[in-house]
Amino acid sequence: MTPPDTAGDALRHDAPLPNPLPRPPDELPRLERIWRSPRGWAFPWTEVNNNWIGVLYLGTAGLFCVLAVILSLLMRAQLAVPGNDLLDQETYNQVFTTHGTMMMFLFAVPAVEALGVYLLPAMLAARDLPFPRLSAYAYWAYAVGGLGFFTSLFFGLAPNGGWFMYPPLTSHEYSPGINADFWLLGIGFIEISAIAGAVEIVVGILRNRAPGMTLARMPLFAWAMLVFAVMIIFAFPAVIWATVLLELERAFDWPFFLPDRGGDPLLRQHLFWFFGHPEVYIIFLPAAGAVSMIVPAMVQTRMVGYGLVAMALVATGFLSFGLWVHHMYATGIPSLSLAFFSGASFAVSVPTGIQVFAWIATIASGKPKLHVPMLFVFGFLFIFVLGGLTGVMVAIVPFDWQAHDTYFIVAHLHYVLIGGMVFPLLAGLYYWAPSAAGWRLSVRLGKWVFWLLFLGVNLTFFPMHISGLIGMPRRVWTYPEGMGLEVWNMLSTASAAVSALGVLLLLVDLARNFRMSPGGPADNPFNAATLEWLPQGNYAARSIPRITSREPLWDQPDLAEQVRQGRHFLPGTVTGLRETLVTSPVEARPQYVAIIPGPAWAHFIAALCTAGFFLSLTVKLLWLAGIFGTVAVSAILYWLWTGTDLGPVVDRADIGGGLCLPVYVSGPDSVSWWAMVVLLLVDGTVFACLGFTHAFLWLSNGDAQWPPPGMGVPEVAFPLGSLALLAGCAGLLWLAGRLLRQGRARAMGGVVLLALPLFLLALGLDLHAVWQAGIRPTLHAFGAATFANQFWQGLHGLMVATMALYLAARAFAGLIDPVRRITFDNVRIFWLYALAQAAAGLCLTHLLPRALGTG
Amino acid sequence: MQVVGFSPMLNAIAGLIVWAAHFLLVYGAQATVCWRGLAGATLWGQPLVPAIVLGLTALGLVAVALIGGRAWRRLHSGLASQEGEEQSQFTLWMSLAVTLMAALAMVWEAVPVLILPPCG
Ligand code: HEM
Repeated sequence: MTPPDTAGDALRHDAPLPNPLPRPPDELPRLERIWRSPRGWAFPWTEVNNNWIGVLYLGTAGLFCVLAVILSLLMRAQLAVPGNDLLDQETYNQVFTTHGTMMMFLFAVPAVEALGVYLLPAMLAARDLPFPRLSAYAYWAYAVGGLGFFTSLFFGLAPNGGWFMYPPLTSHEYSPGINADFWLLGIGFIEISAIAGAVEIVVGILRNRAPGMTLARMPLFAWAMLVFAVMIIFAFPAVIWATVLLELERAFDWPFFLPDRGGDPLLRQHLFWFFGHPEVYIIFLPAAGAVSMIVPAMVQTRMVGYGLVAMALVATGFLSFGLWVHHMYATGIPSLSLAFFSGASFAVSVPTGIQVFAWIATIASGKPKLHVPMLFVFGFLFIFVLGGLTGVMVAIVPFDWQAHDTYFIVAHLHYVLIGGMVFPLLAGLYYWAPSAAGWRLSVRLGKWVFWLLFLGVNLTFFPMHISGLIGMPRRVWTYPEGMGLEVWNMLSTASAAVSALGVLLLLVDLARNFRMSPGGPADNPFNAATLEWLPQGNYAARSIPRITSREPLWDQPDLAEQVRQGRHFLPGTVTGLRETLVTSPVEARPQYVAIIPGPAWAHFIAALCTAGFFLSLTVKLLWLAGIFGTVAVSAILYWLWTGTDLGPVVDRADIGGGLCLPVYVSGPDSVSWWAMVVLLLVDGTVFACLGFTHAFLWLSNGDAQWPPPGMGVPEVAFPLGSLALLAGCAGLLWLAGRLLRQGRARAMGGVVLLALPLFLLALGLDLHAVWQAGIRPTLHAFGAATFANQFWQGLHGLMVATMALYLAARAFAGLIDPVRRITFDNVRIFWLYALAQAAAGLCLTHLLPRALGTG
Repeated sequence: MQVVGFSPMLNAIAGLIVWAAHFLLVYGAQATVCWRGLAGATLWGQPLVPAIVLGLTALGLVAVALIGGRAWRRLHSGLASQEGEEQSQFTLWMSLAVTLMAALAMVWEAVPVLILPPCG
């Protein structure tokens, strides 16, 4: 069912306001009741509203940041004087690894994601993003998993191989304990939670904007978050795959990275940095987006070069994927290859430069007021530009050979990360706090925080450039006397204490002045132009504004009052459930009113058990992992059964302005279709990494070893048989779709139950084929790569089986019909993808060695 | 199956998709050639690596020129408007701007092949 496009006139800027006064007296109380937060002991565990989840998320990221800062102080204390013995070598290794890992995975990415989750609904004037329970699930899984990860430090079990965990150091032979597994399983699944958040953000930004907020009028922060989320979708699969491979190697001795059996440690470096470099921009872009919101408000003028900045964000998103090898200059890759990456590294500085000049031009064209957020913006520009300059230095290959693995790199990476992310985040905190708390943080304390941090950070990290150039390597727990390192290290340590004081003062300010007030911003203290400064409740704006420009609060002077009175779209609730308005992706025309889930326990239990599952796997308690896994999956299924795909609860929703919209849409215009497609992009990227694994290992082994002597390639009949089964399964799925269209939902359920065994049989047949040809995962990287494919396909077999059984159960329960069919659509898309992926997997196993190798 | 808003968004980033394909092919081809020990190989009498890199770059430039040219024509055809899902001025402008960025990046990545040895 496609929604009609009747929005034309109601969106024109000279059309009358969509809803007349006076509003029915029970409209607002009803809206408030439906959006009220759960009370008593159910709060905050069952809450799903992004306002609350966003703030909790930010607070938790802040907590992890403080913990990681404490670790850094320990390191600095150890390094204050030569030959110190505060931390021994092993503890130091665990501390720096945990510090780096927490800062990157538990603080930086979650913090910017949280800022998005918190700000986007208000900024786009959406009641909420389309999948609030998904965000809540992602949040809890992250919070619990992250705390579990941190506690490993107290048992001496924390990972110790550095934040990128290179083999062979992290291979079983050199890291036999479970420390490395804490990284792989503990952090690996937190990546999954970041992806869940990214799905929510992409779909929310493209489909939940205020009517009239075309792409050309979208706030730059939303542009940045859109690019951010899309980058997560393509980058994180690579690190997940790298993690899976290393864990498979450690747990089952599959030699992906062990050269004596055909593996190659560089494979992990490629996969890690294909994620790791975009990661830097994943952290930086949202921060840059925040700056592009704060600067215009501070100088009270429109952003200069809006279009160019939006273009720069998009271009950075792409180009940053072409840089990964510049972390591997020292690995002996041919210099022409390095030159490609050097070229891309120069290209990516163009869009970043565009943004910097746009900010400077905006500041120059207005009258900057030195509010606290503006101080942090200046701090950001100063520190980030310095970090960028040392970045250009290390982008020059011969310089990098000198500076590689020294404190020069530690200095560079902290300048870009603290300048590019922490300062903008603090600017954002001081800027947006009034939108959550109703009043501003302390100006006096804020200035102290700024100066302590600005001086502290510069004086901590600037000396590291020098100690690095003198030759002090990174990741060492101590250094000898008499090399001229004493004074620089002492300066770094003393200044780190000054920064810590700044952090402490910030906490004091927050404790004294920050209280969530669901009443929303009392006013708009900085006279900003965008929609997050409208009067807000838990339900976001009372009515959803029709906007006609990029700076609605400046150009539509009465907007706040009109919105508060309920004169814009959807001033109440139509279905008596939580709802959000879905709009078209480019022009933001209203398409339908989506019902979204409210508070519940299921996602919370599912999150606890997901974290429990991975943590028990780490400590090798398989039975416990089994229990947790079962409960987690059951809770998710319960959540889906009760909370999703409700069907057309009412016929039509009158949202005002003559617009009557459906409350249920299926097919390519529904948000769940979009979410599923985004998820498949993630899945497809993992599979591409699997393909890369095969190609890379083939290249590094040479034709004669692919397959190696002793392993064969299965007879052609096997893959042909599997293909036939897959094709049969696809045919049955087509039939199921036909039956559903004819209204025969139960028959459809039966056909689905027939299709499932065909799919599983196809996978099983291939496993058998590979095994009987003598291919073994532990003997050689060829076998390991082949079985990595089997592993991945098997995982999909499991998922498809769960989904198919769920679909059939819903069909038999009468919950699916030709209109109410989102469950069917989603399962079918995923399943068809799994079929295609299985076919591609057959090519990897059977075609590649025939075409390339001697087999 | 028509998805509202899909094609203008795809057009807006098409230039960068060309860049991505170019980047992966150039790097992949060069790495493969070198790893297979074919540094000295030739293609139609030309040294292999530069021939591949420059050929792919020429292709890439033609592709972005076509994309950019189309966006330019539509932008000036009077059909594009502020409001219109399939012909929005902004996505067309973005499409054009992005092709320039992509062309610049491709050229920068390709020139070293004129100076450096293919596999040294
Ligand atoms: C007060 C603030 C901070 C101080 C004093 C500090 C200090 C340090 C020190 C001493 C090291 C270890 C150097 C070595 O032994 O090789 C380190 C490593 C690192 N830090 Fe920080 N840091 C701070 C903030 C941050 C922030 C905000 C981030 C990221 C957002 C960050 C990310 C990292 C990373 C990724 C590493 C590398 C870990 C590794 O080598 O595996 N740090 N930091």
